[in-house]
Amino acid sequence: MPSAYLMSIRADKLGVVIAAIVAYGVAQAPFATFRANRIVPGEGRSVLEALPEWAGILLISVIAAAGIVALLRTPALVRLGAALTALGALTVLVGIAAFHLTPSDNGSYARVSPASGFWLLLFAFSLLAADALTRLKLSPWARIGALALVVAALWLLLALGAWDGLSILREYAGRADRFWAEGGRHVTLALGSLAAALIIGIPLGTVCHRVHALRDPVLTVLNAIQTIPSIALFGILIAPLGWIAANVPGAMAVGIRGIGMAPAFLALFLYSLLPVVANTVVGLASVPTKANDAARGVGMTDRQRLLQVEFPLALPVILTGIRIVLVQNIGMATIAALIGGGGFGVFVFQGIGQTATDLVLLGALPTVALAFAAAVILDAIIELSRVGRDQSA
Amino acid sequence: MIEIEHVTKRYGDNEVVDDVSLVIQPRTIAAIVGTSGSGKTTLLRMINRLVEPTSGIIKLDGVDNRSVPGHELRRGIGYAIQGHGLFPHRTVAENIAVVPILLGWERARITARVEELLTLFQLDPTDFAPRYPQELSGGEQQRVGVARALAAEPNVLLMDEPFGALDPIIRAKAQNDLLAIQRRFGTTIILVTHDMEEAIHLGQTIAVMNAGKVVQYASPAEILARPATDFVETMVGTGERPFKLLSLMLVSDAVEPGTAEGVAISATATQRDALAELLWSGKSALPVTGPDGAQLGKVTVESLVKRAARPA
Repeated sequence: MPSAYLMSIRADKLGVVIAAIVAYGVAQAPFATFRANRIVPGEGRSVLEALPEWAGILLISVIAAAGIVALLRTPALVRLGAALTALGALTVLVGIAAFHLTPSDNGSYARVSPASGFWLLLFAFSLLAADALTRLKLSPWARIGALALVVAALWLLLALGAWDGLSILREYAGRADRFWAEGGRHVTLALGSLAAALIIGIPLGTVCHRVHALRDPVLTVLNAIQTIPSIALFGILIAPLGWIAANVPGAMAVGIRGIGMAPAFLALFLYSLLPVVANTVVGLASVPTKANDAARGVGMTDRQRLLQVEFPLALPVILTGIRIVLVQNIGMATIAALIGGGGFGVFVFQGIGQTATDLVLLGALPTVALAFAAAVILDAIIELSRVGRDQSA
Repeated sequence: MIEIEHVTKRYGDNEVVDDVSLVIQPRTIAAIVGTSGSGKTTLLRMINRLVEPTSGIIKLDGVDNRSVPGHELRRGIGYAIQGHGLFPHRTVAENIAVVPILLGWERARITARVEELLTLFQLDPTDFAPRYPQELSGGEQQRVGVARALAAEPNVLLMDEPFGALDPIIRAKAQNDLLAIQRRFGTTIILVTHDMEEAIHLGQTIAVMNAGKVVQYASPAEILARPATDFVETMVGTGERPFKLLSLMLVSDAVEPGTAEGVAISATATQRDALAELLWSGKSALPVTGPDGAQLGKVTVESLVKRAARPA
């Protein structure tokens, strides 16, 4: 069956791109960067230079095999396996590279960090894994389970000290307490402002849905707020909050100040309002008129209709707004550090100030990871909330 | 008994329902027929106060329908609409249980009632109860919609174009199911439709509406024989008139003594069906059998043609 044979070796479209990135990442780009101390410019090291001989050969073989799996049309499960194997090899071996490159004599100053080749390979195989997961059409619970497995694997690598030689973890080692404190503040800012936006925004959206005259003015104002650049909004809030702190008794005691967490919290809250209110309005408007008419016809009170029919049917749209807000807030909370609001942004701005890239990464990577996890979890929840409706969407 | 007394509904200067008075006898089906915009749906929705009249009174069994809050009134009146209006996020069983839950029935009683209704509508409870409305065919959705309307055993059932979204075959079955259920429970049904054929088939009385007014309120035979206005005559359709008249009467009323050759016609069939069978078979007479299969006599083209003539 020559035709079937030909079919089986046809190239996968996305796989061609992945294979090209992988080839460039291995052959041309440096795998790790070595620096004599944390701020001097680094020197790139290829895979074979950065790793002990056995590890270098192992990594290249794994990557080559996974690249071929990506290139050809293979079953989704095989692609996922190849991607995970390659990602596992990359993440474990980059830690080994750090120990291998760090000289034993002046080890406390020398820094090893992943270089562009590593990041390209990580990106390429993450893409392969994400594509394979999409093709597998996992259920929402399975997706949350997969996320939990990834988190557990990362935690295990960290707990075992596999990356302790890497520059980013050496930055962490010096400020572990600070890291968790700022992390807590970051999450508090992002989730707290979301919670406040839900408490205010959902009732506001409901009122806008019921009272048509209110809808356009409210959405216009919220839209206008959304267009103010975040740094400008922080600046605008300093004066009024400073005044409140100075003149309203007890305001200082509950943490209201011109700078710090209060203006950051308020700014994130204001940015969160538009997606929450707009999606509440759109969600309620999308409730079928027949369902609403039937709800009244069977004798539900307005309140029963809102809680038992309108909100459940609008929920997927409202949750989509919450997803937008959460991912947006996790990213934007980084800027809070500029006005003393804390969060992972503290490390980003310190790192920029000291031209210490690894310190920037110490702030940026957890932020990206948090946003990614939030997106995966909320996407799963949104799908679960679409009970009885078109399951495919 | 439903008494509608001088009811008017005005939106701005526009009188959607204009001084309508009707009395609907208990345990009957009344059909309200009209073109779109005739005010028939508004009139129906004023009975359960989904629309409040501008003036006039509606009494249910002698009690003004404004004597209780609107939502409580509606819990006691069945309501079924075109395209069923089922709640898409609730299962079939949950949809049917809506009104009993609002009324605070006990769990066991609700479960029993849901099963009873599903069985009555020929939907296997174990199969259908846990399904979502999207997983049902149009005809099944319509039956669940009517089952929901009947769940709390209402004396009155309001139906707004309940069969409008169904194909002709499913629709005919749904109409006959409704007649059987009405006979079983003795529910007073008020049914809004734009289809005169449906009104003649289902209604014991028909109210024809035009531009907010009831132009004729009478039995189907009366409407056919003596349309009050040109509008009613147009609604009835002059070309079909004799056949519609025959469809109101059963073969048992047209049986003559004697015998005839050919395939027997059931005494419970309509005279219209009998005439169609006679014309199609090319015979002038066919035998008639009773429900027990016994020969009752014959039915002839000649006698049916006489019966199809306009009543004096």
